[in-house]
Amino acid sequence: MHGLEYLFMQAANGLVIGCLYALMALGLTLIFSVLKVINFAHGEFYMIGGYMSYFLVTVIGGVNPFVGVIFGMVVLLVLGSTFDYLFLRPMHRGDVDRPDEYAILVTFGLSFFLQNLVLAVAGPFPHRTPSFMEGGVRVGTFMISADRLIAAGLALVLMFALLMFIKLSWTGMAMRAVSQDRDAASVTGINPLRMANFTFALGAALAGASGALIAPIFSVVPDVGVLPSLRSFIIVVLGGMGSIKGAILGGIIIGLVESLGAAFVPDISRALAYRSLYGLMIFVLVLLFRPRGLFGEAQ
Amino acid sequence: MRRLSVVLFVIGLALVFATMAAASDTKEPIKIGVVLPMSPPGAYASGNPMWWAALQAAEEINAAGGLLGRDVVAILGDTRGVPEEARAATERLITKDKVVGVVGNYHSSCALAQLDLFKDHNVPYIGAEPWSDDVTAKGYKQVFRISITNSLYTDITVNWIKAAGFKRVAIIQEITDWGLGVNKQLKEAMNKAGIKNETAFSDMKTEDFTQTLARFNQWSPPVDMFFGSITGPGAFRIIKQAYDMGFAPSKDTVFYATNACLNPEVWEAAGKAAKYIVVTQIGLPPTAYTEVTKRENQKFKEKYGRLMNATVMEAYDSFMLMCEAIKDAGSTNPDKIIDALENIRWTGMRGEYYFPYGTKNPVPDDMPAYMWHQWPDVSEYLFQYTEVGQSPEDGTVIWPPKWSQLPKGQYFIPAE
Repeated sequence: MHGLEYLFMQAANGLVIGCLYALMALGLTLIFSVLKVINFAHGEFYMIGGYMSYFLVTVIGGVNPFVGVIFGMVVLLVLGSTFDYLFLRPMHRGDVDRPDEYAILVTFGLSFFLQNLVLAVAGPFPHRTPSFMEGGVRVGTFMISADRLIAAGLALVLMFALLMFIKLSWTGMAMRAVSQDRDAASVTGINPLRMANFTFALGAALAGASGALIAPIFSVVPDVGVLPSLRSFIIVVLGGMGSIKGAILGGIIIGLVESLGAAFVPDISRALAYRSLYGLMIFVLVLLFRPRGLFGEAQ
Repeated sequence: MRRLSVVLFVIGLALVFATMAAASDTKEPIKIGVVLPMSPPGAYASGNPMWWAALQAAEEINAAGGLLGRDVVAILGDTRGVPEEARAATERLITKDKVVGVVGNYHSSCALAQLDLFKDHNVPYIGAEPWSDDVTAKGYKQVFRISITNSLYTDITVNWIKAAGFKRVAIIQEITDWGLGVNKQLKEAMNKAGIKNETAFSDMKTEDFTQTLARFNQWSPPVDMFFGSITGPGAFRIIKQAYDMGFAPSKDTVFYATNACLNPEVWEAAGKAAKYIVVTQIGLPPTAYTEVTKRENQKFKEKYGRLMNATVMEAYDSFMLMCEAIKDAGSTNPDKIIDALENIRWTGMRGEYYFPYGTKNPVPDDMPAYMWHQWPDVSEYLFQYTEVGQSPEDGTVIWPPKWSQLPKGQYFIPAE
């Protein structure tokens, strides 16, 4: 394969994966921006999304994988909303003495609970949702599968829809208002509790969507969300805590850097093993020169 | 009269205590610790069926009347695949649960972290699946092993590579104690045999291998054999990604996979990409199953809907072996159990177990140190899937020659 073709295909693969990273990180940053909560169960929402899609498409059967993605989102929407109502609402109401610590503990608890629940219910063996479509785009000895291209395309559509929703809809504007000043927003008639609940559910649904989109590409297991979750934290900090633009750009940057690093680092024995390190290096560099991240606002 | 009352009271009290002690002695079960990775981040997909096998063994022993007139209880220690947690779980089993012996382990790193505990507390241990040579090479009198070792595994693999005439080998190797140990020995053996080889190391959680596969796919002349030395879900992902790229399995390149691909989920995850992969199974091929293998495999299939793999067999056999040693020793005294293990001859699912080298017969100088308390007859065979959705039982055995189902002189089936 010619050098330029090789570079192009590796970059394209990085972009495709980056879109999926961005979608997941978007959910995390959305929750942080409105609720000021770092959701440590985000990886498990991603995992549940994958399993829900698998369950509908393979176990029940006769359903298109695209429907599986929607089903994964809906289940996570309900799960996220229920969790916020039961466990985070006391914190929003000011009934908890140390809300920051409480939020960390309760989302960590949810993470452990969901991982072990799925292990008990679905078993320890990996599962994969059937492909969206067979085949792919081939250039020389490199191919990007149709599944990856479709998943990235859907991720872009979802991100665009979310941006439009936040920018143009009344609910989106209310979410932004709550994220900027909770008290001022409530004075204007916005119910911050309801907005928090909706945002947490929406963030969970985005994680579920990325899990369901990934399910045909990489199989799902109960701890499949651990690495994507860590990566999302990096992306969110890289892009700027609470910044939607930052999460999208950060996801794409990390996807690209990981892909190109694994493809071009001369020592092949280490190139793949250090894959996560390439993203971390960019992360450290950005934080050194711009501590609030790419699009973060000064406090 | 008063003195008589006191004497009668004392005798009565003594009788009560003696009866209680006798009753508790007959009812107190024999506890055997089973250390396995049951939850993330460990290899819980292997740990859970292994635990089932240990429970199955305990149930069978109890159904047959127990051991030394007492019930046997398997007590779980979840290592989570983390050495420090493995050590803590083992310490709890020994000091709190008072187990008389310990069996199990999947991760070598966990077993290595526990060895000093077995030595310090003088508790016999039978390693079910830790491959690191060092587990038995330390020469602890309490430590026995029935699994294969890194060295034995490497020998079998390299002998097949040489017989098949592969000259260019590419490897993606997971970074674990097992992976690093095997890779080091594999590289040394291949370098010695003049086989060009290159390894790309990978984290266990890696999802995307395409960049590295693309690099290997550019070799000219092409790679003869690609070893996807990855366990867990990555084992399936790498097959699909290599196949989609047209790299392996292909007419030029044989794909050699780990025993994770014995699980039927390989077909769900990789589909037709898994046809023609070479898979390693540590154990006897179906044609050489013992009666115990056939019986237990049937039960396992009913429970899990799949063929029992080596790790499950090892969990069952190591538990049974510990019980047999206790029976032979006629006691739960650790020294007597260790002595019984050194003299044992018992046929389980993978053949007849015995430990030729130990305190009475030390490892000779010309033998590797890991042969201490090591079962020497661990069998391994390689087979190829030749149909999509095939069960490992129906795959074609390609190595070693004594079990091969291929014509003489043929060592693999090229992909179409």
